[in-house]
Amino acid sequence: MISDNLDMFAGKPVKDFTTADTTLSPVDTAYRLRVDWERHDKGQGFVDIFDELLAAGNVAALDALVIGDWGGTAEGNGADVVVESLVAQRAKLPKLKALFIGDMTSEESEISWINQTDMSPLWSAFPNLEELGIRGGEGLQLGRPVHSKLKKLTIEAGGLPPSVVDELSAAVFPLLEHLEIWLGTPDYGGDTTADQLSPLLEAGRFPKLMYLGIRNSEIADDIAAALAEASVLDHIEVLDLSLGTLSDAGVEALAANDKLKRLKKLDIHHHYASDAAVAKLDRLGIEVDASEQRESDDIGDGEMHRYVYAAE
Amino acid sequence: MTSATARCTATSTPLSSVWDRQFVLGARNDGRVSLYQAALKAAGLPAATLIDYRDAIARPIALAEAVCEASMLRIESPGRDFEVHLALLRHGQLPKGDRLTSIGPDELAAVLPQRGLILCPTQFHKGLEKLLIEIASFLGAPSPALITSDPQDICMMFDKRDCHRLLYESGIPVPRSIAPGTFFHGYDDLRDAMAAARAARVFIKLRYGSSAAGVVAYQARGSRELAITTAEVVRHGDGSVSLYNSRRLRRYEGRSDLRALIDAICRHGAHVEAWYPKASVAGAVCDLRVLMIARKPRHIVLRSSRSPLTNLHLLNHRLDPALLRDRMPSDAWDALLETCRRVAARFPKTLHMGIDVAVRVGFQEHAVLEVNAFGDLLRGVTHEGQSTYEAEIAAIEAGWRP
Repeated sequence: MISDNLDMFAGKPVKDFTTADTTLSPVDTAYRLRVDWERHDKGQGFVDIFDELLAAGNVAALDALVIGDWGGTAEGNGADVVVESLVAQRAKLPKLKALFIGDMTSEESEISWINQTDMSPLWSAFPNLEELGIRGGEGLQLGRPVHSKLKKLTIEAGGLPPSVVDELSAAVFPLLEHLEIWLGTPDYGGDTTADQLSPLLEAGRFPKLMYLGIRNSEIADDIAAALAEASVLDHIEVLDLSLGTLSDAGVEALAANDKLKRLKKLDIHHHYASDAAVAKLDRLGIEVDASEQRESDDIGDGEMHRYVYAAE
Repeated sequence: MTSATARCTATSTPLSSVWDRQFVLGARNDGRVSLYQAALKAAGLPAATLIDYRDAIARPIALAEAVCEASMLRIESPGRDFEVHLALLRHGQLPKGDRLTSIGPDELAAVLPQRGLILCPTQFHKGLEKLLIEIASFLGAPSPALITSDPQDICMMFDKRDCHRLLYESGIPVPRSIAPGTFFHGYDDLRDAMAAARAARVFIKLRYGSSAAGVVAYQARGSRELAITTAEVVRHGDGSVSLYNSRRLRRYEGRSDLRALIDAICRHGAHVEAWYPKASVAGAVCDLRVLMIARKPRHIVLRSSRSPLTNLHLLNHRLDPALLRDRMPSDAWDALLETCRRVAARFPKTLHMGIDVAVRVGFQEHAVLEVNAFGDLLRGVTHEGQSTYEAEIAAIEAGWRP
């Protein structure tokens, strides 16, 4: 369950843009565009609030932008309008460095009910982009991503289509330092296998990579096993397998993996492993976040269930 | 209004204080009554005489006599006692042919106590309403006794549909109603209304449900649907369906279960609102219970949940309201309290009410979700050193009068 909107983005506090913001203060604020029901009901949409933003003073200096509900998201309206509008007006946002599309809590739209879109026009439209965040995997496409400045990419999903993983595997991001994907569950289309992830686990795929997060995953144990031979571990500093269904098998595979000894940090918080298994990670001698230990749940059907953090 | 069978004559003995002959309409063994009595004792005031709901219904003459000699009458919740519920159901027979689920005297006699069974909330409400209006009629207007919660107000607060309309028409921010005033026959009606209102996410509530009983957080887009609810659907061999109030939240995704659930709630009378996107604190969705006493906001509790249903009783966490307040601009918090004052002003003859208020994502806007006539059972919560009951008693001592 995604419970909170972004409080901070690109190092700045996030503020909802309103018509009262006639002059922007991009130095210390990341603005969020959010189309609420009242506006949506009046027949207005993302284009209208975006136009208001573009009309505000100082907009040319805007470097961080967060897009929330783009109007009727819960009804199924896709993010096409967002990407089209941004691309059409790119000349007015020459400094845009950080963009998040889909900042909605589960109260606004469940993560797997958000209809995303083809993001590929963004790569060439915003050459200065350094950070891109996306929430929602449904309908998401990246095309053939090539970007010379992107440093941080985050894709949060309740079910990430395997095609997106394939697109990422072919991406050219020479400066990418932070890659974070949420795989979700097969119930919502997140049926990527550990085998499919292997290109992302190779050294050199993203030469500057420091942080690799494969989070919110139902195949966390498989990924932990696949990491035994992963050359990417020879280069990164942080491995993040949090928010998933990691259990004893996965944690024991991680504990036995000597490649992890050179990491700065391993994050597995929100996991289903026992204390005994978690204790074995001590031998790695690195910082480990194993908080939020969960217990499998017998929902009355006699089977034990483990849940990722955000599925719905 | 029911014509009164008895009417009070002038008080026989002059009273030195409203506390001299105080009666409480309530249920024996109900925690609310004992907490209230304890608060009276702590204030050095005489104990109130309990009129049990069962007796009030079974012996209206005795009720009339008691009420007529009262200096003050406090109307408490009927509580959860099964026998009290049966008595109110007997008292609230629906007219023959009513489209809502009802239960006749013979069937009632055969009903066994079942934890959580949602019986016939409309009939229950009619029973409560009838009793309270009878009491008001005995007393006449102006009432010789001080009544701390106006019977009409209690009935209004218990009717989620009419109360929503009253607040809306008073300019109080509320979630938007889906097809206001419509009688939903069942699932298909609801889906049509949602489509017409462009609402993919709604809260379906029993029109006369109390707290979270029978509340469904429902989202639907084409064939994709999900309901999270306190109601458990139980199908019987004859194809009929019963609803049970469950402490454990249920998820329904399949069309046939959803149809059974929504049809059953509609047969009990449904009120449907657009899902108001509530803000979160500490990783959980939250809302506020604001207890108004003598039109002032007093005890405030922040309730949070990792589910969309924030108003469950025991399983939800109570947090310090400051966690939410500190996230809001101060004028937004002030506006929320002002809304609560305006709600209380709509019920000037009622000493206390518990207002449930949600703050919208973004921490600027708010909406009133419910008004609870018996919303003062907040164990362990104090304001200015007083429990809820102590604060109510003190307000009367300080001169509150309807």
